[in-house]
Amino acid sequence: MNVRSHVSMVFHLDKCIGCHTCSVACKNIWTDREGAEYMWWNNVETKPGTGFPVQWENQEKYKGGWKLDGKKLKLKSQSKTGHWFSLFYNPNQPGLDEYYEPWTYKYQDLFDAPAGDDQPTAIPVSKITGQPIDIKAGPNWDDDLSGSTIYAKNDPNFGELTDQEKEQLLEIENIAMMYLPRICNHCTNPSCVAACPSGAIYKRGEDGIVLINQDKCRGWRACVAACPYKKIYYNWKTGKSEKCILCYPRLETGQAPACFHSCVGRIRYMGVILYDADRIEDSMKVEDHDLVESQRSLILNPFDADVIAAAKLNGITPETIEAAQHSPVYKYVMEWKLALPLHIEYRTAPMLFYVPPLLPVMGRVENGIYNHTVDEFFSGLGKARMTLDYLSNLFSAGNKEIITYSVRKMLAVRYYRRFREVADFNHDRVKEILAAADCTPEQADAIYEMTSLPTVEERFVLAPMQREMAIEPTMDPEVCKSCTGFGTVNPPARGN
Amino acid sequence: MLDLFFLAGLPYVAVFTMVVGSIYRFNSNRFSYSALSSQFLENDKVFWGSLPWHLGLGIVFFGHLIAFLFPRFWQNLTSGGTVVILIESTGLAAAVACFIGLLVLFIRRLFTSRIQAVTSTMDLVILLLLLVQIVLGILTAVLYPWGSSWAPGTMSPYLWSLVSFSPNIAFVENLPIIVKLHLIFAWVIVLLIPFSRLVHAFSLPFRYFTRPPQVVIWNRRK
Repeated sequence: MNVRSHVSMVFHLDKCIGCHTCSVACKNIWTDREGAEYMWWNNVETKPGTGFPVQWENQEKYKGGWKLDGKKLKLKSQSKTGHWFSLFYNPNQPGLDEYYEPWTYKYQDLFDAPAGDDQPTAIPVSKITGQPIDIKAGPNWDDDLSGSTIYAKNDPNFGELTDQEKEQLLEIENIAMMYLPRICNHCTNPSCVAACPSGAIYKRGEDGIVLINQDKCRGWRACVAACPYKKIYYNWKTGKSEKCILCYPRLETGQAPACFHSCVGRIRYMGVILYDADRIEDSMKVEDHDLVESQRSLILNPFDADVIAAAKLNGITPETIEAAQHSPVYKYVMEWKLALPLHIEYRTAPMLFYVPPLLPVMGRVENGIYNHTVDEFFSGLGKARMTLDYLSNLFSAGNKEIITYSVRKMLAVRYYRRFREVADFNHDRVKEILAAADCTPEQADAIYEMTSLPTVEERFVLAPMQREMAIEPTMDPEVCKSCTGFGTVNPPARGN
Repeated sequence: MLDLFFLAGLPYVAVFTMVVGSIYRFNSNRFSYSALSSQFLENDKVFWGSLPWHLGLGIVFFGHLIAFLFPRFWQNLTSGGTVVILIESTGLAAAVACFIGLLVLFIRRLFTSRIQAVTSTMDLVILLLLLVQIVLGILTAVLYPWGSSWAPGTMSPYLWSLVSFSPNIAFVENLPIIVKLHLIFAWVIVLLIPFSRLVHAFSLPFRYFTRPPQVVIWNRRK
């Protein structure tokens, strides 16, 4: 057992209202620069939809993530020898048009236009070429357009859905949709790290944040293709790749990342997870169907005496272990088994977990009336608008039992709360419902409280980052300063 | 005198500047080392430009390198008729691929508006120099054939005389002007390496073959 700690995340999709505050907070801090205008380290997608960049989930096209080849995990995008050809031309790298051409408006024209009979206009101009452009796409171009024939219909997650199920999802006047906020998953088996020819991408040992050493990056772009979530962006100005840094300067000073901090729906949770680093690769070598369970088996119980002893042996501080014991992520993922990884079939073992949305599941209309009777509990899920098949393609690699377990438990908590607050059905019925959902009244209370009433301290349980130790590398003459991100003095200017 | 400057002085200046300049740049501004790919901005023409250029260059460079390092081996190898034809035609084909690739890259850089946004003067200078150099190389191969058998007796000893710090330009000073220009342009390109994007050639990722797939770095040494 090789215990490592990881700053891990849960996004509660049932609470996401799709307001993009997270995206804007991130953009204002990190990507408001030339070359990075098109980057959205945090973005929010409407599902069903094509996402950003267009159809990023289509790995036939982009070749992201790992494939299981016999007993080995291999990158889909390249082999050790084949990558030499990709240096000169990478066939799997999305171009600017798969994202969008960033633009601004010629606002000055509004002031400088000569007096006349017509209103002056500010025409859109490209932020790259400065020439007028015809805006054809943007980072959330299909926002709320769930029924659209262009976007929703081309969602790569439909997979084996029947025509009827698809039609149900795409019904134009009765749209069913959900929001999917995405940041870098800070995977434990990252394919971007494995693909980097320069070895510039690394995972921080202490907290598992995946970073790109900008001084080591040579702009070969293999990571852009290899990341199945398309969360590595190529900066066209500096010629380097960039990605979400999980606001590590904020984390190191005890603050939650900007997207977490600004979240209006308070959907984001952050906490420490202890996991077994020796079994990362092996755990991703099982069949798709078993991947979620296999990843859970990596995560260690922070209350187990053996785990604590092994963690201390590995230099994990008592504060971190304590944080792991109070981690909301551990509760959502392991204790309650509500939160699931996004597209675990890419086999990167992502460390960002999603609580699947419940509302579109429940919101089925019969003759204009929502049916919320208790009797619906056992049969209702099968008739859900946002079909469980679809959700399972997103969150459990097609395993329907796992997604059903999670959604049923959330529904049970709801019925339990209704029993507590309104009491329009009897105690036996609620017991039956909780038992069917593998939940106890205590657990239902805990889930309710963590979902609806958590304080900031309960949502973000951050272990102190030991700044005094983190600055050691700047003092220690034996440690390479730039290896740990310190000691950079040059402005990040493009080379000649 | 001019010959002495271009064939004996310039090489030392060029190589010295290249080595010292590249190391200095690597240590003082490592961030500026990048392939500076523009595939992201323009995804179609770059395929017909970058791929033939780099692959062709690989073959041509390898041919030159072998002839320089192992002149006798190369001479023995190229004494047989068929082998010479095989080697020369491979080299020529690679050089033509280089030329076509460079031409595409040059046109792309001049006329694609998105690429213009990331084009520096040095980029254009380098492209032009490389283009001329390739043309000179092709002309040499066509006008003065079987270079693979005459170069080991002229170019190679000349280069070795430079390496051994006893420059002897007698080996090359009577060569045709096109061949001499090919040499001079080569030294100029070497000279410009540390001041241009060409430094990315030193970043070829050989270590990727041997490194473990995952990289974990600890703030504190374990």
